[in-house]
Order: sequence, then C-alpha cells, then structure tokens
Amino acid sequence: MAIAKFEAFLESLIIGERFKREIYRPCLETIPSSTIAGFFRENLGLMDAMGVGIFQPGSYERRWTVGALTDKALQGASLPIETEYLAPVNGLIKASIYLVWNGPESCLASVRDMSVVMGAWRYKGFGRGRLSFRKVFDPPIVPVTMKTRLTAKAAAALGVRRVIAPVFGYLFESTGPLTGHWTRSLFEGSVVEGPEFLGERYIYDV
Amino acid sequence: MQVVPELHDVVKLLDRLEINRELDVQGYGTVSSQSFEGVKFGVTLPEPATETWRAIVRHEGDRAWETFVGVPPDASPDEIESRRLRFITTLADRLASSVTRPAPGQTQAHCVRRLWGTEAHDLTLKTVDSFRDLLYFLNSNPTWEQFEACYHAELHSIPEDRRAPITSLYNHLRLTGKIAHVLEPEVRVTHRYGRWVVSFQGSEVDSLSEAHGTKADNKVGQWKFSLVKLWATIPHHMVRLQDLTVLRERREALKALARSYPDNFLYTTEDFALMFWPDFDPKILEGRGDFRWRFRLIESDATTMSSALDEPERFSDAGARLHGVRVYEGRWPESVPDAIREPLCPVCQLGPAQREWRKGDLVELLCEGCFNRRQGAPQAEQYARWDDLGVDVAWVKLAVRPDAVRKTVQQLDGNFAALKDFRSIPLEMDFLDDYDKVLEEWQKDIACCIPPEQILTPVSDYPELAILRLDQPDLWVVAVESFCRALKKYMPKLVDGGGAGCGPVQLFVDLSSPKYPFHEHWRYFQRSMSKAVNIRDARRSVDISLSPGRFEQLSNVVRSFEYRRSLHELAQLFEITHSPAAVLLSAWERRLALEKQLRATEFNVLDLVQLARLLG
Repeated sequence: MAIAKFEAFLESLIIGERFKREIYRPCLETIPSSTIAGFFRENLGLMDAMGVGIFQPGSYERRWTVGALTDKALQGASLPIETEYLAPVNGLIKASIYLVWNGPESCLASVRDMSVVMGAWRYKGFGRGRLSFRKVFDPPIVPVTMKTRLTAKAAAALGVRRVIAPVFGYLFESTGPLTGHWTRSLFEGSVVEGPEFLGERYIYDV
Repeated sequence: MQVVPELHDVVKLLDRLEINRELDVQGYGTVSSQSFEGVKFGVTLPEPATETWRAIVRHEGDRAWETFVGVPPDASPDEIESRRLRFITTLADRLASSVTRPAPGQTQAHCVRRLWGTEAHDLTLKTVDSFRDLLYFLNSNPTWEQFEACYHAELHSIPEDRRAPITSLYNHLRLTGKIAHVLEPEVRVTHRYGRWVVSFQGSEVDSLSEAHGTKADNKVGQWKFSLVKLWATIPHHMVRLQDLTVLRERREALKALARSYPDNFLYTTEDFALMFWPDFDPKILEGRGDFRWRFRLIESDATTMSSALDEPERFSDAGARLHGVRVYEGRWPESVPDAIREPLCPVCQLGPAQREWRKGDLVELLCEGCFNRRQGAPQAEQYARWDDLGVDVAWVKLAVRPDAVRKTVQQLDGNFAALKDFRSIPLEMDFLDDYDKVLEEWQKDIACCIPPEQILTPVSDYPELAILRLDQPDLWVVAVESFCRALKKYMPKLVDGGGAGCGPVQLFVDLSSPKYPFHEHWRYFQRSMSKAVNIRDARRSVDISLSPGRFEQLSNVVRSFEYRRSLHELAQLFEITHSPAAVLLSAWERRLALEKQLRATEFNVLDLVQLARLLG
C-alpha cells in the first residue's frame, strides 16, 4: 500500500463538527478522513480520496469567535454562532497529510506550494493555505494509539489491519451534494494495528 | 467458618515494648513482632475464641500451615477450610504491603509520617488493660466495620510498617481485606493424586511461596494477579451550564460501580478507579452512562505487582518482562450503531438528536440522554441574574490527579517511593483520604469567608466546582488563600512546590465576565498544569501557575505599600509591551527597590507583575 505524504501550511482554520442550528461549534485538533476526502475533492478534483491529517503540535492554538451565518434557504441570518478555530502560533499552522495513492508518483510532483482551502467559514477568510507533495512511501504497520479520526472505509483503505481497542464516534459522510449520514468511525485514543503515522506507538501487549 | 482478613495485623496496634514489660512482670509471656504466640492466654487474658482471633494468633507465627504438603488426606473439612482462609489472608497481606523490603537505616516509628508532611500522634495501645480490652473485643467476633468504628483513630495514626512509617495501618488492612474477599471464592483446595493442591484460575500450587514467589531467590510466583486502571472520559461538548451535570453523573457512575463491586474497587476519584480484578470483564460497564471508558489491565505475579508497572520506563524494563508482566488496554463501549441518519446530538455526539430543547426562540436538537440531563438540571437563573448585574465572576475548580501521587512522593522522599518493589496503592489511598480533608476544609473556609449569595455551585453534590460573584474584584483571593491554608494543614510539603512537576492537587481560578463561554472555563480546568495554584484572566491575558507558597509570597509583595506604586507602573508597562524583559529592564533602569527584591528572592517578574494586575 502506497501513501502519499503532503505538508500543508495553513492560516487560521476551522474543522468543526457539522452541527446545524447550534450556538456553539467546537473545533477539532486533527484532520479526520471525512475532511481530507472533501479537501482533495475540492482542491485536486480527486473524487474518492482516502486519507488523514495530523497537525504539528505547538504550531497552533485554540481561539474562538462569534459570527452569524446566512441561511440561504430562509434568506436571512441565523442566530449568532460561537465557533472555535485554530490560529497559528508562529507563522502558519503545519500539518502532515497522508493520502492513499495508487497512481504514479509523477502525477503528484506538480503539487508544490499550491494554494488550497480547508475547513469551514472560508468566505470569512478561514482555511487558506499552501500544500506541497513530499514523497510516496510504504509505512510500517505497527500497533498505534490514534491521534486522528477515521471512517471505517478510510481505515481499511489506509491499511488498518486490526482494531485492538476502539474509541467510537461519528463522522459525516456525504452521499451527494446535499445528502449524507453520520457513519461510525474510529476516534482519537483508539488502538489499532495500522500505519505508524496515525499516532503514537502503542507499547503495551496486544 | 469466618475469618475477617482485615483484622490480621491487630498486633500492630500495640506498643510491644511497653506491653511486654508489663506482661513479663506479670508472667504472661511476651508479644512477638508479628504474632501473639508467646503470650500465655487463659489466666487474665482471654483465650482466642473465634476463627479470626485464632488466625491472628498464628499469623506469621506458625509457617507450617503456609504449605499443604504433609497435611493428612483425611484432614477434616474444617481444618482444610481454616488453612485455606489463612492461606488467602496471608497472600492478600503480602499483596497489600506497600514495602516488602524497608529502606535500610530506618528506625522504628509508632506513628504515620506522611510523605506530604503531616505526622500523626502516637496512639498505640501501651497498657495490658487496653490489650485485654482489645482481646475481649476480638472475642466478640466483630466485623471489620465494627472494629474500624472502635479503633478508628488508632488505625489511622499507626503505620502499616514501623520501619517504613509512611502508610497507615488502616489502608493496609482495608486493602488486605478487599484483596482477600476477591480471592476467597476463587481459591480452591482439593485433594488429588494423593496430595492437597490449591488452585486459582487453573494454576495449582501446594504452598504459599509457590503461589506468591520469593524475592530472595528471584522466584516468580505461579499465580498471576490483575490490577485494572479505569478512566471515565466525557465525550460531551458541554454547551450550557446544565450540561455540566454530566460531571456528577460520572462520579455517581463510578461510585455505583464501586458499590456493586466493593471489594474489587480499591479506590475511586471523580474520573478514575483502581481495581483488583483477577478476571476483569468490561461488560460490567454496560449501561453505566454514556461515557467513554478506557481501562488498562496490569497482569503480574505477586512479588512484582504494583500500580506503577504500566509506566513506560517500568513496563519496558527487562526485569518486568522477566517476571511475566503484561499490560493490555481496552475501551468501552466496544461497539455503537453503524450509522445515524438523523442529525447527531451536538452534546454527546453519540446518539441521534430527536428531542427539541427550547429556550425562547432558540431550539436545540438533542438526543434522549442529553435532553433529559438538561431538563433535569436546575436552570441557571441565578447565574443569568449575575450577568444582568454586570459583575465579574471567578470560576473555581479543585482537582486531584492520583496518577501524579506516586511521582510526587518520589520527589518528596525518594528513600521509599524509589524502591523498585514499592507498591504505592496504600499510599495513593492515604493521599486521597487527605485530599478529601483538603476539599472539605477548603469548602468550609470559603463558605465562612464569602456570603452565600456570592457563591454558586453549578452542579449539586459536586463541591470541587464553584462560581464566585466578584462584588469586590479580589474576592477570588479568598478561594486561593483558603486552599493554601488547607494544603498547609494536611499536605504541608506540597505548599512550597514539593513534588513540583507533577502537581497532584491543583486549584484553578478562571476570571471572566459571566458572558464568557463557560466551555472555555472547562477547557482551562482540563489543562495539564505543573503547579498547584493556577489563575487566568483571559481578558487581561494573565495566565499564571504558582506553588501555594510562592503565591503567598508574591501576594504579600504585591500588597505591600512599599512596592505598590512601582508594581503599578510595571503592570502598565507590561499591559503595553507584553514583554517580561521590558518589565525587568525598566525596573532595573529606574533602580526600583522592587528590582532588588526581585533578584534577591528569585521571583519570576512575570508572575509578580501578572499577579499585580489581577490584584489591581
């Protein structure tokens, strides 16, 4: 299984759980597979991208802001929502992005310092950044305590061989432009036998 | 037949030197270090009349019964049962001992000297009369609860081991009892192929040393035991004050589990439990609330068993591996539904949001559990009124981290805690007992110093969390000073930053207006801090972390008339520059008296100036 590794340098960014009609939206400190799927679809036109991303600790801090979203269907503004966002600490937020890649490496070589967007509230200036391809590699499969979130499909595609101790939650999976459902996913803290980059090496017995 | 294993060490209640002197004069023999075998019962001292009492008399005194080799095949069932119970009690006693080999050079002590600084009074029984009373009481066949009620003070002040007087006899006995009760139904004695064998989880032995192992010749015990560490984490994104009720529910869930399995649960805190459980089945967590449970199972033989075996440096130690130490992790729930079509509950994020919760024009969709929780909690009207008054508030939270206790005491006195075969469980139990006292004292002190209308407890039966209405801007100082006083009383060595770097007891004070998002307060309380006193004011970009001793020193400097003007200037400078270097240089340039003070006492200028800003 080949994995393409990218590095992203991002400005302030919101990766929130998609809560409608809420007043508070927390922001994740990881890039789940559902976000990566949308990210590659929008930025590189890949329709079935499977991957995951991990922020570099220390390159960001949590902050929060308040804004009122426009409800296009009702043609009015909804109640103000308070949302958390990640802000860069020194310069830009750094993230490593891993994508399952079965094509030739040369196709990715052109992804160098490419302008990308990620996450929510882009019209307010959030989520802008740059993406650079680094390498294609075959990661070692080891027991790890995950630091990110994966849908079942993404876990299989990324080479998760065995779930040792799962922490379950739900990620939104789009089935169309306006449809989708919440699908059972592996969350941070899950212990799996999978690619090393998913988290920290698990030292205990399995 | 009944043996109360908790009572196996009652000999430790006696001041042997004093009692033996009197006994010897009266010709009644003497009490040895761990048994009553030398005592001549029957004249004025009552004969052992109960099974517990007989077991106590022979405890450690007669090692013949530690093996089943040589026991005749036709031994009576009563004799076999009596041996089995003593076997279990002794095994439990060894498992519950905090120090199997005391540090060299330690003298004998009659009272507990807690590593965090307090010393109990000597309450050992010193007269034959008090000894006789104890014997009569034991012959009335008391339960552990009755015994504990009668000798409460003595049990808490007398050490488990006089050569290493750092843990109380009370928690050693409690721990021995719990372990023995767990083992009792699991350990069986049968006669097979011409010999008696004792079996536990399929492993058969014929002596205690085989089951337990021996330190002296590094022999690994054949029986494996399991400690289970259980964490209850909250997946909830708490949006409203009422959602905080989940904190109380979590504590209640752990307490309910401990009530259901009182012997397996060694101790619990609000989010953690330590259990002794040979055959742990996570299904016990089913239906115990919508929390994310994480557990770690530590399996080892009796000589190696310790709650610290899962520390990475210990676990990777070749010695631990040699002794067959194994550590597993697990999570609960093991599964959840594959997909949810409806909106997901925004609070717990684990269930379909089907219930509408309304507040004015605002409608929130919640799952059944979160809806009920919010409906059942008292409304936050009082807090809303504070908002209308336009006053500031201080969110105050006291927290304990049992995982840091061992590391802390290691720094306080490495002699004991650094021993490789030191088992910190009784120490952790003692520490949590003292933490409860700190919490109680802190709470009482606050209630005395602050009018009740200015204190709000957002979660009932959750005294660790309070909100103070700051009618006077520095009212929050009362909470910190109360904490410092309580800590000084029960954990004095932690006051000056003993155990710095671990901080097992921490106070958080978060200053804000009532409008400030309360989940931000909650996030602050969950931060991993190294010092005991943590104060933040997000509006003024103040964020300080100090030991209680340093807080007192700094607040004295800040309040002293001599430095007030200088500090005010420096605080203003910091407000503009946000630079500690600029503040220090400015102090030096102006030759302020403060600068000398700063250098002389090695004060962190940033802490001092930040505190000055908070204290106005």
